[in-house]
Amino acid sequence: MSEVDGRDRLGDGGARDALALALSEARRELPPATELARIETELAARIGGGDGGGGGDGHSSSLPRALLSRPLLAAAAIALIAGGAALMLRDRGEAGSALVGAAAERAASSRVVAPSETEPSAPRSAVDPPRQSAAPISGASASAGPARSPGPPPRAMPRREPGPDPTLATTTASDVAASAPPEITQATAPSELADEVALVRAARAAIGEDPARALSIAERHRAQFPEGMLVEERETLAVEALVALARHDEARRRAARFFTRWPASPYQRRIESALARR
Amino acid sequence: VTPDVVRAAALPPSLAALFRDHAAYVHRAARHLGAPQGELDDVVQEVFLVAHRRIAEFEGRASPRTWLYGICLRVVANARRRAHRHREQPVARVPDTIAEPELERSADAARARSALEAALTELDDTKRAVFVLVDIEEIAIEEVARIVEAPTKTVYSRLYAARARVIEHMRSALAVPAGEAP
Repeated sequence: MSEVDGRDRLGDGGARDALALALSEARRELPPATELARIETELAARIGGGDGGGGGDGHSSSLPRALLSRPLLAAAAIALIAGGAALMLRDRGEAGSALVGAAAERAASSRVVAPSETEPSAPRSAVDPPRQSAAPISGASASAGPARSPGPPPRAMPRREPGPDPTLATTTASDVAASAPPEITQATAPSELADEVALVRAARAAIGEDPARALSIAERHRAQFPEGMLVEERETLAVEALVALARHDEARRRAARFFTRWPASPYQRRIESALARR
Repeated sequence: VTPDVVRAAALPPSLAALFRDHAAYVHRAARHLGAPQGELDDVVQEVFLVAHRRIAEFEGRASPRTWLYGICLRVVANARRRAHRHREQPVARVPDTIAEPELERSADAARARSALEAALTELDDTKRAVFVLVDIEEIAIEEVARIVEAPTKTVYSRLYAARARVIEHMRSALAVPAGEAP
């Protein structure tokens, strides 16, 4: 068999190189955003609907009944008011919506720092660590040797996980505490909220294939719900869409406004990684 | 307009943050750990459902990702056991969804990549877990030891064994007879 020749050409060293290559490929293969968005939507449905999927451990009844945590509830209340106004105006047609949008824009811009002053460059460290591992599998090549002599620690990985994220940790714990109270029911959900949600979902669904459409849906949301409950999500989608459309300056300006308005938003990372993607 | 629409809309903020920052990595890990074919999405969801229920445990942890990987490992193991019981399903191979970045890579890389996929399926679960966590997910040995609940020494020896096995597999998988090279 000529396989022997092949083997000769591809000795251990060759196999190690191939492994190094394969591993660096494997690390780069993250699922597309659209797929994650789908998973996220289904997950939200499962949590909201009290599980439903298999594999649960029987504690699903302890899940929060709905997405309406306290902070969100506050936002919902605001949305109710703002949404009510928007609804009235919407009934009068396009001009009304545009008016709301313009008003929101004015309100927003009055608090906004000039884009150039807020460089969204600061902390984008933890977003995408493996991709930056410049010397990927030094592990593999260096390690195949020690394989037979399990003495020295194989300094396997050149880099560790990005450090802990205290911000995330604290947000997480406290938010969850806040989302626990069972007295909140979905009865609070107004139909405007459902309209909002429908728009944001549509925008999110479109973003991979048709960012222009996603952007126009986001703009529609902005017109109808300038201060809606999902305003952060909408602005994030808008930035992502702008980046996808290569409208980078606009994306940056919009992101800068976002960072000014919501300095501690959980969406910041997503925006930062969108901006980095160009 | 039903409340269902509303409920399906968004995750609680804390979980949403976890999901956005880590879901891609959990997804990748679940695939390499051998989540059964067609169940990858479910597995990822399940990981975050469990995380959601146990979020109190997470407080004070050094790294949310490490914590999630630990959950992922168990969820995948359960799914594999179930799949094994119900049918002889092969585990997920490189899925089509990964096609996009593949366009840019060389034929060599692609071959090496699929050889690695195949090699992974031949590892036993404990070695596979260590290999995936250390060499693909780049988790420090000490953390992996915590995740798999084994002494670091054991983790090292599993890692060495796994690497030797993978390299051996890749060597024979990639040994193309002369003249038949693609």
